[in-house]
Amino acid sequence: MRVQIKYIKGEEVKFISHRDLIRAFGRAIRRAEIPIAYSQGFNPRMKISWGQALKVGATSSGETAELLLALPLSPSEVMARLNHQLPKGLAVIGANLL
Amino acid sequence: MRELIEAILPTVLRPSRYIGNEINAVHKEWHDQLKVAIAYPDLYEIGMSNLAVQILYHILNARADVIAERVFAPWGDMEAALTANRLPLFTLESWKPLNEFNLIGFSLGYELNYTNVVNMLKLGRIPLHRTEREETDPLIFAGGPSLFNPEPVIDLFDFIVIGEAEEAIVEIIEAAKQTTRKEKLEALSKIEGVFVPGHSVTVTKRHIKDLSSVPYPTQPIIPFTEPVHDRAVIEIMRGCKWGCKFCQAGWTTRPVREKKLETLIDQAEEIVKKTGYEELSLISLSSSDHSKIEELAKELATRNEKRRVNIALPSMRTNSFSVKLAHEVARVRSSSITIAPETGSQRLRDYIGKKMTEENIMESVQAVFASGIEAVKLYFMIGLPTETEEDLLEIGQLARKIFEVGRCHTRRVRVTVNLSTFIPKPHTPFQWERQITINETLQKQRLIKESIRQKFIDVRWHQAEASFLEGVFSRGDARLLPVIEKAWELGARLDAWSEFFDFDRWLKAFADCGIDPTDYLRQRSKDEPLPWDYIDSGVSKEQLIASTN
Repeated sequence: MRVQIKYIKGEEVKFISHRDLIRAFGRAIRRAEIPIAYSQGFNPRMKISWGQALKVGATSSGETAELLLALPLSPSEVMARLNHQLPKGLAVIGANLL
Repeated sequence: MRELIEAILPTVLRPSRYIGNEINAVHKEWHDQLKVAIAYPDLYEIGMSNLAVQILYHILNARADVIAERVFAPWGDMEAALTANRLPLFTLESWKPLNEFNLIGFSLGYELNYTNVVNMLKLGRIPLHRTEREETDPLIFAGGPSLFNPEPVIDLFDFIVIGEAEEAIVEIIEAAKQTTRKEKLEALSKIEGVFVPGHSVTVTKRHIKDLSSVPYPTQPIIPFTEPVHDRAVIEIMRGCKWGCKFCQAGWTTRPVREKKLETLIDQAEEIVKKTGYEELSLISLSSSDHSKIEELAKELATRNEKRRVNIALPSMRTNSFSVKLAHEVARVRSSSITIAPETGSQRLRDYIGKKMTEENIMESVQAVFASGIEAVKLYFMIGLPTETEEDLLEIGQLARKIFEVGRCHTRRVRVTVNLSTFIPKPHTPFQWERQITINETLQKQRLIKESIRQKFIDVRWHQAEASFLEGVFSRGDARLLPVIEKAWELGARLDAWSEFFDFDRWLKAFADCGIDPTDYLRQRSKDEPLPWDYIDSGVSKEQLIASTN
């Protein structure tokens, strides 16, 4: 199942690069034990599609990403678990099934 | 100050090096707590991979009466931006200037970072020498492996800590709560493992009796920007029983102490859950010596299989048991394996006390190639005592033998030969030996390079000039601080980075101070006093002398 999340990138993290943001989300997903799907192969990656990169230094209250889950989990649960694990400045403000 | 910092951050490379807010970072409100800055004199990416930084941060911030924040050496662009905007060096957590802290502790593990200490104190607007500091200035201290010979930098510090700091740091905090600077220094001088210049005469290394009982950072800070070691780390033991004559860590971290199996499993479980890291590395100086290593590695592999966490076992003895165990517990096959034969010949390997036989090496690489790994990295030292040309030529012969074994398994075998210059280190049986000159280093590097003409064997080496400087400062004395300051004035900082390192600057600094650096490389006689004689590492000179043969 696919879950779209809407998240904010706030003051505390506005200077982290898009690549670092992806790493921070990845670790939060693992800590939150969200059943994310992984790609096959030698170097499996989380199946997440990211929106366009924000400029370093910019904040945003409406970034999106799509998570592919290997097992079902309600969007509200995805949001709650992620918000428990994300660093200050990153927060999920909406999640829905695609 | 905040607005100014905000304005410069978008203009520097990787601004997240300077801003904190990472997962597990501790941001406290400033009240009347004791403010401690943990200073690491190299880039964020290096310092955040240093276990001591994470351990001390964790211990200090667990206390309500302390605020501990981090500060690292700024990259060139950041230093320029700070200077241009007349901003002081500030900590990551609260963006406060260094001089607003009560204590600033540097972790020193590499002599080429000494100019960064000077630079950070200058940028932090703190009087450089301990004798220039006044009542309201912070107390500046240092710990770490380099302090086993503190002489070249001792005048920068109000006190130093020798050995392991988990317990001492708590006593330091209490001592620092005294009212006057004089009272603080007096209290500090009474702490085991602490040396206060002007108060103390000698100092004995501090070590933890029971490793399982001291706090361990199972919720380490997880950097946003990628650090050099991007993984969870569990330290499984300290000390090393093998006694290689060149190895400072092996002699100064004695005695050997293991962490209990149950403690290790608990800490590993916690760190994996609290970080989300994809890899868990079990570290020590020689991990295969842990009496429960097989049980531990297999248990952790089982527990972490579903979580997609790779178990890595670096620093294992070179033998087929180690190779098989590492292969068995790893989820992700490593692309290469590293072996440190140290020398080409068995004769020299025996002489330096490296208890590894060519048979061990060959059975290991056999197992490595059989497991599907195609690359082997080999580490050797040049300039060892008693070394002959024949010993050096045997480096190439060993590399070729390993290459041939690989050829039986794969066409794509790659062997890398890494050469470092032997640096005699204080508190080792080789502390009296001569270090080879830059020219000798270059000649030996060339000899080896020319003896290995295979296309698939790559020869690399550590820059001769950097090893030279490391050698000078490793066995240096107090006359070297003016040289460090002079080099800093001439622009030296971030000397561990080839893009910044400029040897000519150092030569000029030595010349200006009237010091011949090559004198520090000479052989010492066993009865001459050594600059680090007042540091008791736990191993006496008599024991070291007895271990030289």
